[in-house]
Amino acid sequence: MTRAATTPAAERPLLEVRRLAKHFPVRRGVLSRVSGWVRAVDDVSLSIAPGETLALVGESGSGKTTTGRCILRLLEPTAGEVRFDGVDLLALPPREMRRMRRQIQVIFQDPYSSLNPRMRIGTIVREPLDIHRIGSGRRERDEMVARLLQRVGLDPAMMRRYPHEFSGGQRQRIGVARALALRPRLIVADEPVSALDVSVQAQVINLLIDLQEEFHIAYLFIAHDLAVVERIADRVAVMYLGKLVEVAATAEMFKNPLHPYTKALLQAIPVPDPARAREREALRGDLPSPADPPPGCRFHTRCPVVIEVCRKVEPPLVEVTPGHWAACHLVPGPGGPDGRRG
Amino acid sequence: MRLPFLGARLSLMIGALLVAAFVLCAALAPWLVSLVGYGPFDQVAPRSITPPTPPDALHLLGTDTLGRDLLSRLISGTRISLEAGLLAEAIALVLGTIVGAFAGYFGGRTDALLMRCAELVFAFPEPLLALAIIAAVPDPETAPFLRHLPHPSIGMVFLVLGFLGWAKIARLVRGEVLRIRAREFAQAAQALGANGARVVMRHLLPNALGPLIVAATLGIGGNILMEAWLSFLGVGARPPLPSWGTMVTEGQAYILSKPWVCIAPGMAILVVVLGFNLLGDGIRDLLDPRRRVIAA
Repeated sequence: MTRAATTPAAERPLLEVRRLAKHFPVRRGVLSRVSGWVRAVDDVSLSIAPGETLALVGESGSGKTTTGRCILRLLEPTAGEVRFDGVDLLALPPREMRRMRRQIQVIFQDPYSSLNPRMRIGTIVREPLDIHRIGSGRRERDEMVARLLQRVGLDPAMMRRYPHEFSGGQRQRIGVARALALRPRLIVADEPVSALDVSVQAQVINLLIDLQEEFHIAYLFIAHDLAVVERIADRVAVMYLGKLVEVAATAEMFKNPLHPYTKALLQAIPVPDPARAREREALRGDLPSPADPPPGCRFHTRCPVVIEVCRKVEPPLVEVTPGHWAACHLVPGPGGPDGRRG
Repeated sequence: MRLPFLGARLSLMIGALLVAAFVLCAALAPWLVSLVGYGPFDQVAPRSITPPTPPDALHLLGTDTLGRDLLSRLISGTRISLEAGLLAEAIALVLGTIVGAFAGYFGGRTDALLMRCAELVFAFPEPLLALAIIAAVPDPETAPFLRHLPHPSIGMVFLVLGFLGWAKIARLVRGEVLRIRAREFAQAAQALGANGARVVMRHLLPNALGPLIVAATLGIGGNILMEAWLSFLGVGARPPLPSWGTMVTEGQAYILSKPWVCIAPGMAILVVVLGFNLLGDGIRDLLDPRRRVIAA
């Protein structure tokens, strides 16, 4: 793959990830010898245009969160490149990187552990402004905090309260306000609604969509569930055991999934109609260990349509139709019936 | 030190009560001594009788071998105990927190080196190490810095105890830093662009405060016991200072014939150390109902 998969040709990408890999050592014994590697993320390439939402979907253990942390440089990738607005983030010295963080922010999954329990809400939301010395003095920053809280739908009078006094949905809004404070151009949202009630999920998703329109923010929206993604994402990337298996525009992905894993995920979405029985091929078994991934196609141990070649040869991610990429031997690619470029 | 039949609340209350009484006693010592009516250094026993004299209406706890009022000395001694306990723990807290935070935050070789140093301290029995250090360093009465203190011999005690106490605190802080660092708000701070110092000072340490308070409370009790022990052996506070440990030594020769000379300071040590331990245990149980074991 020379060009990052999935770049919409017209626009210059805001974020470009090339061949990203993160391997964690597995240590054993008294001497902590490295006995193996967990390939949490293995050769992932993706890109996000300004103001776009790319959803990264996969089961727990698929490496989607690790991908997000590597992009944020909360983890140092083992290999690969992360370019933000053309700048190679991995090459930045710590000081420059801290400056760059103004433009890339994060929203976490767990609204209970993502806010420091010993800080007041006002201090939590003001912290990014304090760190980057935005605004002149405490008073101006406090006014900015009040506006931010208002913008995410919270009463600015709550500034003096502590996180434990808020519900999960309110806390997630506080997390959004904190991420928004620096006016970032990219927000990595790591399962931002997975821990919330369904009704609250919709509110937070709507808030994220509104903010995107208002501030032209791009999202890397990490989720384990395709249903949540349909409303917010422009494009969807599906991850399995550290690799991308399919990337496509959201509508295309839902209408015309190519990879058997994507199909299984789509079938797992509940339909709010008990009368409508659905044909359902539930995935058998668990995710294999990423420390010892199956040879060939990593999905072959659970694939309902597995053929002989899958056990030996790893299928590459190829562009099947413009903008729609898949990694499966059974997908008819532009190069030949077995999906490989001829 | 936990008394199994006491509930968390009860141990907290008794501990707090004992510690409060002790601290109050130390704070008001000069006034309390003036109430007793005899100074801690005054030889007040009647000339006609050979001291120590037994407790009576004039001397509630009796007098010691030199005929000094025991109650007055006991009250004055609270200041020495509290001073040694608090200052030693303060030194241990500062050193231990710095070392622990560095080890936990940077990890890797820094962590390995610092923690091996801590284990070196753990490897020796604390009283023996303290004895060895005091024996090895110059006399506190003439040592630089120490000789300017009101009581150089006690200064030596809290310096040594403080420098020995850091290891426990460092191990605790390191563990807490490792634990809290993995929480998302610490990650969020890093993602916001906070530097290491800010992450440690504003996010990690404030959340480690609970276990630190418990460890410090237990540590103060331990230090008071150690001060008494070192003074008992004659390497801590020097006579005529009314350290409880020194007082026990002085009464030692009379332990069978005139036991009150030993019993009064001995009981004082017991009650105060018990108080700090009950308080520490109580706070721990209050902070964590699952009774996580920390730096016991």
